[in-house]
Amino acid sequence: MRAEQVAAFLQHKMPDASEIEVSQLSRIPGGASRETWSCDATWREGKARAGRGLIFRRDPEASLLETERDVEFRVYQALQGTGVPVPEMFWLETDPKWLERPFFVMARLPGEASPQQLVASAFNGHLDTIAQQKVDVLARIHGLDWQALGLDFLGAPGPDDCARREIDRWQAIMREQALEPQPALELALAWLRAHQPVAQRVSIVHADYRTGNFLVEGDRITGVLDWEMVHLGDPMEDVAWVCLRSWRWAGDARVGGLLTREEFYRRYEAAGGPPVDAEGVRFWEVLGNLKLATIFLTGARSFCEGRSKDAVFAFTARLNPDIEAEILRLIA
Amino acid sequence: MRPNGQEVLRGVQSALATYILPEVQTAYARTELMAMLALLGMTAEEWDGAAQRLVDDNTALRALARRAADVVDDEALVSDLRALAGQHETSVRISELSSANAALREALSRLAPLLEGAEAPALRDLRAALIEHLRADAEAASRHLMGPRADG
Repeated sequence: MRAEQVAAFLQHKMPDASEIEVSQLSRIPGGASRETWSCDATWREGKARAGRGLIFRRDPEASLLETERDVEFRVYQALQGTGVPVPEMFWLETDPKWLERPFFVMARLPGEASPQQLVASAFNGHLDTIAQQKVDVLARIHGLDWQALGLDFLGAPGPDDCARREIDRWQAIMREQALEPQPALELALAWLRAHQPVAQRVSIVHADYRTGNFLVEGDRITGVLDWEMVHLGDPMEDVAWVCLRSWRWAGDARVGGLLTREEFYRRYEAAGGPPVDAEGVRFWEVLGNLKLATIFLTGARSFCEGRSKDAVFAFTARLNPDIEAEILRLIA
Repeated sequence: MRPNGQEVLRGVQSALATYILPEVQTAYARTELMAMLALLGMTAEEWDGAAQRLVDDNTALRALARRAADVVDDEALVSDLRALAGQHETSVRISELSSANAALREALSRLAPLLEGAEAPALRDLRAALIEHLRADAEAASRHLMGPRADG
């Protein structure tokens, strides 16, 4: 992606603007299914000079996960003004003539997302405040009226069908993407089919809600990002995802590197989330680990087939034995 | 020949970290390079023990296949398990050991729906033994590559 391409696109979208300048264009690490690019854009509007920081989320050549960009874009739009901090959305563009591949553009929010940096700095003394906001935002997401927000298009399962739908989805992806037989994951699938919980309510499920997918500035969360796997389902799916061992960035048992599991459950319920069902969370934790392993298997295939040159895909595949060990512990 | 494969990988890892990494400015390129450095270290770590690890795993999986063939009630699967259980290594090439390993893991994967929720003690014990082996193997691989975990 080049600054001239970005400037040409902005000129197309803002025909009244002149002297458009794009600077500090750089790719940001991370993102399971889309490239993330940041830049500063300035332009002239009449006699005044205007500008803002922009984020471009562009379809990759190959990804860890195939997701629908318009779903993510529409959900970001629907969440404006709900109290869930999300960036303002500008444009969804599918014509490849601008940046080779489809993309969408949103406002760049202030803050740091890297979990390693956040935990290393212990959130600059605001750890407990950030932990509370993380819990509050999750409970808020789960309390939103998705019908009123126009999110019916995501497809609502019945409370007794949330689990089956996700098992089917991830089983299909796993079997399609795995380059080698996966007995641990097959054992997990058999266990999941036999232990499906019934959801207490059907809610918006972020599906990748964890330390690392929200921005922190000072003592506040400024934005919740990476909604590419969002769907309607069992809120316990997000509760369990928060608890996955892979996100224990502090190197101890605190979930997300922030607070104990028991404290997380207590605060989540106090914030208005549905009662935490420990067995339900166990189910979703097994499914979450299966999903994470599957995402990494997808990256491994892209890497081995040469569709991606991203070394991170090879690296994350090496995390799978640890995830398998956790799955087998949970289903033993 | 010296430097051997492990020494070459470690040497390249060290050279990249010493001379190239400090020159790389953008966050994305640095992340990629850090992943490459980690991969070189992991591959070097695997290099010496890779064949032995596969030989050991294949031996354990054949024992599980033999045991499963005696207790599972699925004619086609039993036939495959018996055939696999009776095989022996004919080469220590990683590709051939891996191929045998994949065949064993594929057959044992087919056991999963038969073992889940089974009442018969022999099947329950088989499920526990399969999980125990796969978990021990996964933990060993993880510890080997990533070091011990302290997060419970």
